[in-house]
Amino acid sequence: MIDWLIAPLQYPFMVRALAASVLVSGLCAVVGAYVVLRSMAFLGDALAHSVLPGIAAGLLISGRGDRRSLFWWALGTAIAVSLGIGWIGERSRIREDTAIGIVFAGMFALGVALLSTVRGFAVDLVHILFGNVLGVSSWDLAVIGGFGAAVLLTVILFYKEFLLVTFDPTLASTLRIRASFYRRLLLVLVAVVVVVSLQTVGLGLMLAMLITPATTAFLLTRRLPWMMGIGAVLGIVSGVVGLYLSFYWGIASGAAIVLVATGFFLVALLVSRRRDVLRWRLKRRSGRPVAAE
Amino acid sequence: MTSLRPTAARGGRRTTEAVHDPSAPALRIRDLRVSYGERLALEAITFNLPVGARLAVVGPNGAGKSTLLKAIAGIVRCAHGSIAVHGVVPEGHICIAYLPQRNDVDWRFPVTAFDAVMMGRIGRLGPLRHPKERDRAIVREALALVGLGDRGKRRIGELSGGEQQRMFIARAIAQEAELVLFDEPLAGLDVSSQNEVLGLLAQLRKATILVALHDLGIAATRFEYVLLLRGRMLGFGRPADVLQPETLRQAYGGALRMVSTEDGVLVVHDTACTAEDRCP
Repeated sequence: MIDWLIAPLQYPFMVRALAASVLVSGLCAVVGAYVVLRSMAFLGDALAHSVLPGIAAGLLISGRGDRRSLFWWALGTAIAVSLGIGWIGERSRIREDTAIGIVFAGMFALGVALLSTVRGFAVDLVHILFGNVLGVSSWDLAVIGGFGAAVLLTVILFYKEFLLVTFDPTLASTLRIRASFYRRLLLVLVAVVVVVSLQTVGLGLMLAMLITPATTAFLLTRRLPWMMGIGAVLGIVSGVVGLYLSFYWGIASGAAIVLVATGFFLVALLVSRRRDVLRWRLKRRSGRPVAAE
Repeated sequence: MTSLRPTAARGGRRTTEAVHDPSAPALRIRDLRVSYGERLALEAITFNLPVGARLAVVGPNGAGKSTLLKAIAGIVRCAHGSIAVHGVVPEGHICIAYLPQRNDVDWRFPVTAFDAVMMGRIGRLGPLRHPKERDRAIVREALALVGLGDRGKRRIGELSGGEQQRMFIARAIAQEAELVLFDEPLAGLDVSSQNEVLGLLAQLRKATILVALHDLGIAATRFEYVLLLRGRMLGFGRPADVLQPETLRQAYGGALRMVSTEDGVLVVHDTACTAEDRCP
């Protein structure tokens, strides 16, 4: 058993992959809590896909070898798109989800169009869509760590404002908290997390990292800090277990991580349903009013 | 009249905190008009409300009750006219509590009653500050005052309807609100819960209170002032003066039934919908 656990760690690329998965999974779950609670799942998915033209432009301009500049291209695009989506949602007569859909699909098409002019684009596209966690470099790790710390610090500093804007925007405006500023800041945080996580799970499965562990934790807890903490732990465990499965069974690593996280979600769903039914029966028996949902 | 004095808040960021004019009424509204885009929601509202008064805002569905409360809170912009709260425009205040309709709240949200009441403190804390022991004491006290002292650790979705409304009142207390705007607090509550909520409102001695209501009987018996709305102001004043057959007919149209009794008192049966609405 010990050997089974230690064997993959002999390879430096596996150690880096594990470190990246742990950091990214934890980070995604914390920011994902807001994504889930603000019903921004579609937005998260759209943001991830909208990064593609940025990466494509980076590939065209700097070439495939320059991975660092690719990162900055992706980051710039993601932040620009997140601010643009927020702006459209506030100003336009179009419904927000429609606006997001149009921007997302248009950006993705632009990305594919740009990429298709690059030679050997199929391999690039597969890596971008599904991640390449085994190719994580020490520079990538440093970037994930640095930006991850900045995101966590922002969440801690503005915890009460984010909570208020997410739960009760009306109260936020009567307390004269600038709700639109914090909403945009939250979008930028999601954008940053999406980009630093790109290498691990890819665009295609990014959404799962953001919402699955956070939702699993939502089913199990009654307070936001716990939702973030338990979500992070579940995400990290999914990341580690997924990588081992990937190592021994040869499954694509991003997919393995997401499948483990989905498994946790299904278990939590069953557990919490049973618990709710039980609680409801107890209440009915004792004659107390059933809680409004 | 309008004195918005910028004050340096703790934490270094400048915020504008309205300075109350003690000689001004709690609420002074002149020829208010509010519209959502092209659609006119409310017009011709003019009245003064003294400090500490209790006002019931009544009218059929869609009469603009919520809109009026939101305009006073400074959440909805007025297209025309003026609102002054303690002599200052609403946007300058953090002492206005708007307590939303129950349907407007996501009750599945993972916060406890304690957390939700603590949110009322955020305006006083300022940016980058976390709640201190004093804030926690204020929240505990507010919860105890509304009889939820033992419910602080419950998730908000686990509270009963009456408890949820009392939690909002606790939040207004924690906010140190001086003007409380309560949007349909009695909707969907049984009679005993309604009485609990009304009793608590009576306890908020220092605050001026506006409550949007459906029940004309409660408005007439439990409030000092009544404002009758239907897209425009049809009457404002003491309940006995405002709730007259003619004005009520203007507000409710055919949905209103009146019965004359022997002493000439009109018994009003309020179905709470306009003639155009599909009534059950």
